[in-house]
Amino acid sequence: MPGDAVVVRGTNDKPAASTALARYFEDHEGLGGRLFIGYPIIGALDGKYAVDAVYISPTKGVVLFDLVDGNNIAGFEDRQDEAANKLQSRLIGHRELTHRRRLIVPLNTITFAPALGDRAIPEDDEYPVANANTLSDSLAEIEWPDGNEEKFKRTLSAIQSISTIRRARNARKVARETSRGARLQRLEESIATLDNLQSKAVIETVEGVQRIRGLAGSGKTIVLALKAAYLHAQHPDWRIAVTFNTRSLKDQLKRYINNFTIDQAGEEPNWNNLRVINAWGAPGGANRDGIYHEFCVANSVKYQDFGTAKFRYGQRDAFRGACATALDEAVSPKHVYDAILVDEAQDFPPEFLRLCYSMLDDTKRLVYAYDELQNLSGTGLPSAADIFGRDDAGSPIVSFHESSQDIGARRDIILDTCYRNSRPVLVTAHALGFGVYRTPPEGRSSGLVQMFDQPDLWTDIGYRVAGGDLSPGHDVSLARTGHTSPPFLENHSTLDDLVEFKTFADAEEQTAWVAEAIRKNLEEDELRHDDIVVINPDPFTTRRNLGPIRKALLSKGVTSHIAGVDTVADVFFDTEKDSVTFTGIYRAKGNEAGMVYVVNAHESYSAATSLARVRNRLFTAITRSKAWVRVLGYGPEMERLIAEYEAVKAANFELRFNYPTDRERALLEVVHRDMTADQVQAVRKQRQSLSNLIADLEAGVVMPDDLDEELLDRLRDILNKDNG
Amino acid sequence: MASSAGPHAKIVEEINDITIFLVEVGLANDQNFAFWSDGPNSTKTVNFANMPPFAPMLKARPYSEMYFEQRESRAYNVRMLDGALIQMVYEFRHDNLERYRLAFLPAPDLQSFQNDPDVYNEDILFADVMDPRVVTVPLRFDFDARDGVSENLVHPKSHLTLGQYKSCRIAATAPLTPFLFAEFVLRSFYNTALEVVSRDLPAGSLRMEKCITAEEEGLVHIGVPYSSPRREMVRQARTSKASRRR
Repeated sequence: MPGDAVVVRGTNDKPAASTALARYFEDHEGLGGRLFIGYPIIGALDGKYAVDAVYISPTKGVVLFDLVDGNNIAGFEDRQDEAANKLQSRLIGHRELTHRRRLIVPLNTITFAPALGDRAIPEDDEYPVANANTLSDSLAEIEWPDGNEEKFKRTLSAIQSISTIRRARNARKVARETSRGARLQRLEESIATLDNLQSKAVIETVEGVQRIRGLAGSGKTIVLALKAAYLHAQHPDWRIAVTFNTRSLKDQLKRYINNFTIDQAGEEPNWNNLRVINAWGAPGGANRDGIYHEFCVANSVKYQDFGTAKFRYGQRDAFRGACATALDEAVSPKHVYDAILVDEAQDFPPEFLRLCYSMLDDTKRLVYAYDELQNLSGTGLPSAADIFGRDDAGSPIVSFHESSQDIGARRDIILDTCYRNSRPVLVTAHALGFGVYRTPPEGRSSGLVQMFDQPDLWTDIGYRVAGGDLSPGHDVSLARTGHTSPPFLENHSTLDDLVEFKTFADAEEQTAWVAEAIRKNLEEDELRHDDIVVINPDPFTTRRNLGPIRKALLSKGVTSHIAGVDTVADVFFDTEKDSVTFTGIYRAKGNEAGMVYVVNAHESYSAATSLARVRNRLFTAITRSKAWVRVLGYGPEMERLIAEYEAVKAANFELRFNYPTDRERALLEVVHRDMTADQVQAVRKQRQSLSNLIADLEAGVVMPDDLDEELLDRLRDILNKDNG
Repeated sequence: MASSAGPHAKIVEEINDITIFLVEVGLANDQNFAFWSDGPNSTKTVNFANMPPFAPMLKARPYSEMYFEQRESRAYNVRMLDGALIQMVYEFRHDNLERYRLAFLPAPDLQSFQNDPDVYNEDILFADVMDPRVVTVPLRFDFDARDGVSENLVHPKSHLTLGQYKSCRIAATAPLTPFLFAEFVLRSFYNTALEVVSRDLPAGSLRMEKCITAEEEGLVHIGVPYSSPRREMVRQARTSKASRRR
């Protein structure tokens, strides 16, 4: 007995009929199958062709809808012919859908005109026309006697296939079937096709703001890029901007968009209307433009470059200050774009998202994608109410509650399947990122460094509750599922090969080991230079630490380079030359490699402040790995880090912890919050003076009576409030 | 073999020592090793890549175009963390230095990095070096001892060109060794208040002979440490005196 039809609502130019059609399928239970609105787009010799809507089911095959807003259906026969011909030519290219030169799935057509009166519907068996009242009858006429679940799946897959997008770079030369190179090759081929859920997220379009959340490696960037390409294909005259934080994403984004558009629509995108641009931008030509700069120009407010902004607002708040000031100064912001898509939103200040919001026309098509844990500076993204503010009545201007209008399209999309990291790698990264198995410091009961505000987020990102209770104050045990962490990602190697933690006597020993390991990867394991990445998590020590390793490699005849900031060509991997990539944490973001070496993982293990930031970096570094990761360091702190990993292993790669209560979580945020250098100084001074006072009191040098009673009362109040 | 002990081999070694140093201290993002090869007319050329070593730089096109072309084709010994390209090419004939080109080609446009806050987060070393007030200037030390090329005052044998100005040829006392060039570049453009990177550069002992004319010396010129037969004698005398005293 089939379930309800799944509706995937994209965008087309017949909104009324689309909504009516979506509503019909939502209201009629048990139809099964899937309805796509505004998809697919078919590239043909005479230009691209967009299907209004298509319904696929195991019992009916393919039903193409020609949608009509209003009641003029003239030309419907030709339109139905065209739709069927175009889709036919697209599907016939898929061998698994043909048998002896014919499609195994029937193509039917219906013109759906909900505004048409019953009496105006023509009698036509060959070219059916229906309104909402008669649609059931028209659909009932369509049958697929030979249909079954298997054929349905094949058809569905063919229609929504976006498989060329992630084609790997040049194939590797592999001689041995079991070498790392061979295993990596097979892995990449398996990942190449986007799955159903990802393509759904690409097509789903809403009026208003849409949020895409997902864990690392879930394909947020791809989904965002393809979404932009899809919108552009459907609305070629819209002005669309795609922006990002990490420079290396620019190249990736353009590539995905280009591939998708050519694959689906048979033509190149119009880069004048679909723009992949930086967030900040600078004067001096289209190449350097950015959203903030465009805002300033459009609204005639003063543009500030980073140097100026840094001077005025401080380094950390430079962009925030610049955006906030620009927003204040712009009296009534001009509408510059029809849609803006923002990747890595967690790395931008909320003011930037507000700025983007203000640059949109009234539909406010803003799509932003983010990952909570990958904020490298340690602060999370505030709620939508905090980002976009509230109206006079106090309601949030932007909210993600599903409205009745949103059939088949989500405002809040969560991608829960990780396609990059295997289960052991991902769970290790989460365990370290949150400090799940960190030994609690003195006086505390939990070693946690940070925790999601909403416990549900854990299941949203693909964990299931393996034991206990996922709620504050309770013990819980979380594990990945076979669906959200596909086994094929980990089956190619043993557990101990997938993840290896190692400690050394000192930096020199670490250097020697890494250099030799890389040499072996290249000379014996059949890996390519661009399959390897060496990451130093702490930006302050990156160049100093990586230099000696690069030197050691040079003496083994292995070339390497540092992916630095000095780049106009935002290229991370040197695909022209055989060179291993070395990088700091910021440039590593958004990139991935089969073999990842995380060096000096022990640094800042015992940081007194901003521990969340340190852990986030570890998380980001580890999750760069498509296959194997080596986490290295030296000293006693490395041993403690390794102990955390051993605990993850002992827990069979489950996260077991006591979920902090609201109070406890607030404390976590306070304790591990991000502080400026000045604040760090201030805290340090006060700690010292408090320590001195206590020492004096204990030694009797100062007596409690010597202290002002009022001051003591205030102190008691503060201390009691925290512990209450 | 006698030729492998010649000055060209020492120059190769000095350049590569410098290259490795820059990699080790994290100033270099990318590098090519130097090597020497036999050229026409009994020359030996020290170069960094298999490409024409003395390609004309004075074609009339914008600096940025030339810079990016060299960068794309990886025509450098070292690409520094701020994008500057360091090029060192030496040509010897019969063990005498015939000509060279030493170039420091900074990235033409630094503003695109500066508006990226992550620059400062990520490349702390880099951020110190970058200063929004700075205007980068490409500079070139050229040497040419071939007949008919140099001309007193107009075209000194060893000279410095600033900003790619065609007629800018500031006379230099003597040819520069790789060490002297690298030390000059590091000290002038990469030392910061906190890090005196030039100090640890492996010292080269090579010095070249003075080639400036008296008239050139009478005008503003660049002073370069040089070796002379008399200096050599004095130096040797001092060392042997010292060893006798022990």
